[in-house]
Order: sequence, then C-alpha cells, then structure tokens
Amino acid sequence: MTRLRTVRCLAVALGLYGLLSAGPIHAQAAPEPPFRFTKVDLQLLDESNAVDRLLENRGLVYSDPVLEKHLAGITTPLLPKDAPEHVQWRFRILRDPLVSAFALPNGSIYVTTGLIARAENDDQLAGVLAHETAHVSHRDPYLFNRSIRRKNVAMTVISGAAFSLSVFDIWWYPPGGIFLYPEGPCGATTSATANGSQVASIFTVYGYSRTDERNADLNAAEGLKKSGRDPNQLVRVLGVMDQSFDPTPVAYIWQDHRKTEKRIAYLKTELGLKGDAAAAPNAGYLARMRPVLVQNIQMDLDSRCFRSAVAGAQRLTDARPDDPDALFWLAESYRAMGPRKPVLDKKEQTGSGQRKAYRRMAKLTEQEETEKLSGSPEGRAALNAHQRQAEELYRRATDLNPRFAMAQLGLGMLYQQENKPDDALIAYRKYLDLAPQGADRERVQRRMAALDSQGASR
Amino acid sequence: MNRRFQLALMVLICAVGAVAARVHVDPKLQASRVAIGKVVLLPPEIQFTRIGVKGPESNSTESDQLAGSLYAVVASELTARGVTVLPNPMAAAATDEAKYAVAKLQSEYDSLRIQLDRKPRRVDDGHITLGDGVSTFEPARGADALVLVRGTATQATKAKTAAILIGFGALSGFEGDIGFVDARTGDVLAWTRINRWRDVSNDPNDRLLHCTREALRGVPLPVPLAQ
Repeated sequence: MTRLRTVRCLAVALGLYGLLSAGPIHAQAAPEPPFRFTKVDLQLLDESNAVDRLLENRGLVYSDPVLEKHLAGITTPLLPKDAPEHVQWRFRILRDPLVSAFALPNGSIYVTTGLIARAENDDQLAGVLAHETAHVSHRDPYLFNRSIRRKNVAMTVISGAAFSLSVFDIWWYPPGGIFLYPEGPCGATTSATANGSQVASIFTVYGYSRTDERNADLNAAEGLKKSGRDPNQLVRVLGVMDQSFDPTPVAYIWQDHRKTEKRIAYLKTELGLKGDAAAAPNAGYLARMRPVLVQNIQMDLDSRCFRSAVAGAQRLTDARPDDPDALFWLAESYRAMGPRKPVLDKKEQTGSGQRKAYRRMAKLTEQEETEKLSGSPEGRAALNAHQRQAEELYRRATDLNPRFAMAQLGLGMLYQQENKPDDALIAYRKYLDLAPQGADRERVQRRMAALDSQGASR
Repeated sequence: MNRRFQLALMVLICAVGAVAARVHVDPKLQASRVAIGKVVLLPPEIQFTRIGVKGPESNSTESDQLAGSLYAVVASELTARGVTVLPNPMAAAATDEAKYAVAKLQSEYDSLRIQLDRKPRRVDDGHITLGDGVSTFEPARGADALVLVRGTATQATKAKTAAILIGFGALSGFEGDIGFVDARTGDVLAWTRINRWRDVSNDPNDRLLHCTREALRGVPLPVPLAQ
C-alpha cells in the first residue's frame, strides 16, 4: 500500500514537473516579445563581468594581442550590425585543455587552447565563434538563466506537493540546479572558474536547450556562407571536437556524442552535404596558432591527458619534422604517457565508457596509476615502446640543436625512469652545463645527489 | 525505527566524523626529518553558494571576499604558530605568465586533491606527491612548504533551512581543507579539514578563526598550539 502511494506520488510530482517545465516550450511557439532586462538579468550581467575579471586576475586568459585581433577579425563579418544592449564583443583565449568554447551574456567569447589545438583552420574556428555569438545575440544566456530559476521554484513547489500528499513517504531532493560541474584532471581551468561562479558552469558545461543550439548552429552556418567561408567546416569541426583521446568526467556541450551526431545530421541536411565534410588542414593556421598548441600540450600533460598531448605534439612534428621544439614536446608526451595504452578502447570511447575510465583514473594519483599499469605485461610493453620512442625523439632534438638544455633534462629523467643512473647523470650534467641558471637547476641537483647516493658511478 | 539501529547509526556517524576530522601527516614531518618554518600561502579557492527556494546561486565576488578573509585567518594562525609566511605570490605576480604559474600550481593540486579527499590516509604513508616540478615555482624559492586552501561555503536562506523538516532543505556551513606541500619535493606533508556548521559569510574573520585553529592543531609546526 505504502509502495503504491509512493509510486502514485512520484507520478503526480513528475507530471507536475513536466507541466511546469513545458511552459517555456509553449511560449516559444508564440511570437517572441522584445527582450527586456529584469533585475535577475542585470545580476547575471554583473556576474559575467565578474567572471571576466576573475579569469584575467588568475592569469587564465592567454594574452596575445595579435591572436585576439585575429579572432576578432575572423568573427567581425559574422556579427550583427548593431551590438545588442549591454553587449561588448570580446574574443579571448582561455588556457584550458578542454575542447570547448563559451559565451558570456556580456559579449565575451572564450575559446579554449584545447579547441584551438584541435581545429584545423580559421573557417572551423569562425564557425564555433559564430555559434557562440548567436547565443549572445539571441539572449540565450539570460533566457536559460530565467528558465533554470523557474524550474528550481517548480521543483520546490513539487516537493511541497509531494510532501502534502505523502508525509515522509517520499524524500524528494530537488536536483539543485546546475552544480554538477566537472572536477578533475581535464578542464581544470574551467572547473576552477565554475567553482567560483555559477555563470561559468552554465555556459561551459551544460549548454542550452536543443532548440537554442540548433538555432545557433544554423545561424553560424548561414553566417559562414554569407561571409564567404566554407560552412561545411562547421560540420567538420563538430566531428573533430567530438573525438575524445582521454577519459573525461562528463559529457560537455561540445563533446556529447549523441547530441553532436544529431547536430551534424541536421547541419548536413541544411547545407545539402552528402557524406563527410572533407578535412582541410591549413599550414598558415598551424603556424599562427603554434604557441597556443605548445601551451596546450603542457596543459594536457599537467592534466593527465597524455594521448591528447601526443596528438597535439605529433601535429606540430608533422608540420615541421626538423623542429627540435616539436620533437622535444612529442618526446615529453611519450615519456609521460608511460605504460598507458596509446589509444582508448572502443568501449572507452563511448560516453559511459569514458566516464568509467575517468572514475578508474581518478581513484589513483598519476604516480600510483603508472605503477599499477607497469605491473601488467601490456603496461610494460607499452612503457618500453613509449620510452624507446621518447629516447629517439630526444636524441633527434639534441642532434638538431646541441645546445637544447630541456631535451637533455628530458633525457635524464627518461634514463632515471629506465633505471639507467649513469646515463641519467651524464644527461643531467649536460643540462647543468647548458643552463647553469635554469629553473630546474635545484631539482636536477637533488636528483643527481640521489643518484649518487644510490651508487651511480661518477 | 528501531532504537538500537538509531544508536548504532549515530555511533557510526560520529566514528566516521572523527576519522574524517583527523589531521594526516607525512612520516617525514612526523619524525621531524623536515620542518615547516617558511611557507608560501597560495590564495585560497573558495566556492560560495547561496541556497534559496529558487535554487543555488554562486557569486564570484563573494567567493573572492571569503577567500581573502580565509587567507588572512590562515596567515595569522600560521604566524602565531611560529611559521614565516612569505608574500602572497598572486599579489606579487606582475605578468600574466607569473599569474598563470600560480594558477597552474593550483590546478595541479586540484587534480591531486581528488585522491587526497578520497583516501587522505595515503598522506600518513607518505605516498602523495605533486612531483619535484614544484621546485620550479619561483615565488617559493627559499620556502619549506606551499600551503593550499580549498573550501565550500553555503548560506541557506531561512525558508530553505526550515524546509529541512520536510526533506528538501539545506544548512549553512563551511567545509574546507588545508594542504601543506613540500616546496622542494612536492610531497604532501600534511592535510587537514576545516569544518564549521554555521554561515561563515557574515563576519568571516571571526567565524573561520576557531575552526582554522582547530584544523591546524595537529599539524607539527614550530610552536605547538597552547591548550
């Protein structure tokens, strides 16, 4: 009897929720009244300005006036003639390996270094930026915020209704809005911002309703066409961004596979595109964005996204096979990848598989994970293969630039990992000779002292 | 509900609470093979959330204000325990790169903190490290340890607090932790939690003082806390 009542109450509560949350959808069918700012919207605007300041103050904005000007240049033809009220367009690069972009309601559009590293050309970047500017022009952030607040009130009302129907038979916990922000290795910058601000978590993680996303996509494709850019590159970039090399904690707006498949499907229909959009890698784009790519490789390594780091460094090496820097970063990526398999399994590439793999990874520290994986035959084989690749790449880098101190440091660390203390000492000594005042001097000296105490010959 | 079951549940909750509140200290620090004399206190990262009937609302300005208060409280407590607190690295950072170096370190710690939070006892075994790469952090030259503070403060409205009675309410409070990381080797030397079951957003300097002092009680610092 109690169970029956519980089920009945749940059904009533869910029905009420459905009715209340369906409100905005019905409202969208009617002609939209012009947007008027309310107190809540102005609060959101203030919060957006605060997020801008927070990102700047924490040094999370990749400051490069030339690149920012370039981003503004490719987006300006896609913008509406008059900026909407309380919107000042600004295009900025966020230091975050997460492949993402987001717009704040005040007109600040952020693209992550992860996205720039993954995109192949300016048309793709323009497509993403056009999508984000469409959200701002349509006032989607404000409308989404209002909708979230309405739903929260609705959930509270439902909780009350459920309570009045069955005292303590149902413990109804409202979902608490949007506080399931990502935490952990990938997207740590976005996570840090989301921790400080609700605004960031809305726009970086969850995205908008399917209708809003669709409108923004179609708007972006139309804008690309009108400005003489290839709209098919928007389809291509969605596919490129959907690829996941490393486990991630949640499906982000730009990396939700099912959503992305649907978006690609309707864009193809709209553009009359049959088959896949052709890849269009652009050497000029890669050359211009090179410093961002290097920065992103470092962040991928710090965030335990080793496969993404290898992919990024491989791209740099393919573009310039004789560039010691590119070779060095590829070597670093292989060394850091250690016993991990180079590609995720098919199962691990699905949304749920990724989350499971992430949970497994998050249980252990990087060091513990490396030790655990090195214990298995597959892990040992992967470790040996990656160490061999890393050594070869370091060697090539030092051959091309004999005064490359960081490559000597990498070699030293590699040899220490491989338990070759004598070789490690030689490489460390070379590093100290080449960079006597280097930032890593102290740790190298400590490592040398440790090797000495372990009995390595001088 | 059966009374025995209720009693057992309460004992279990208290036991879990007691274990969670324990300070975790690396064996090297415990055995005084390393000492914490000079530290760099990184700006705390605090998430402030106001929970009302209309749902939770974060505010970055209030989060920053609370972080500033906690910085001052932790710094004064450390000073009172005989530790020299070096200048705030974020305040001293003049360039974007210098600011990013701080953000990078904070982000690396956040990644490690997931494991710390799951199994803090690994600190007692000396198994948790950020790696010796931390020694390249310029503002920590000459420091023994880096101090990293994290926290979540919630302020529930009266209506939301009252709603606890019917199962969908929330309480005001503060939950946080302080980590001491060896500035040379990256080993986590000590990790302790700060808890306060009260709204700390009003008069934070006063309300955070006692719980911070208690959290630092078990950390081996030059001057022991007076009883």
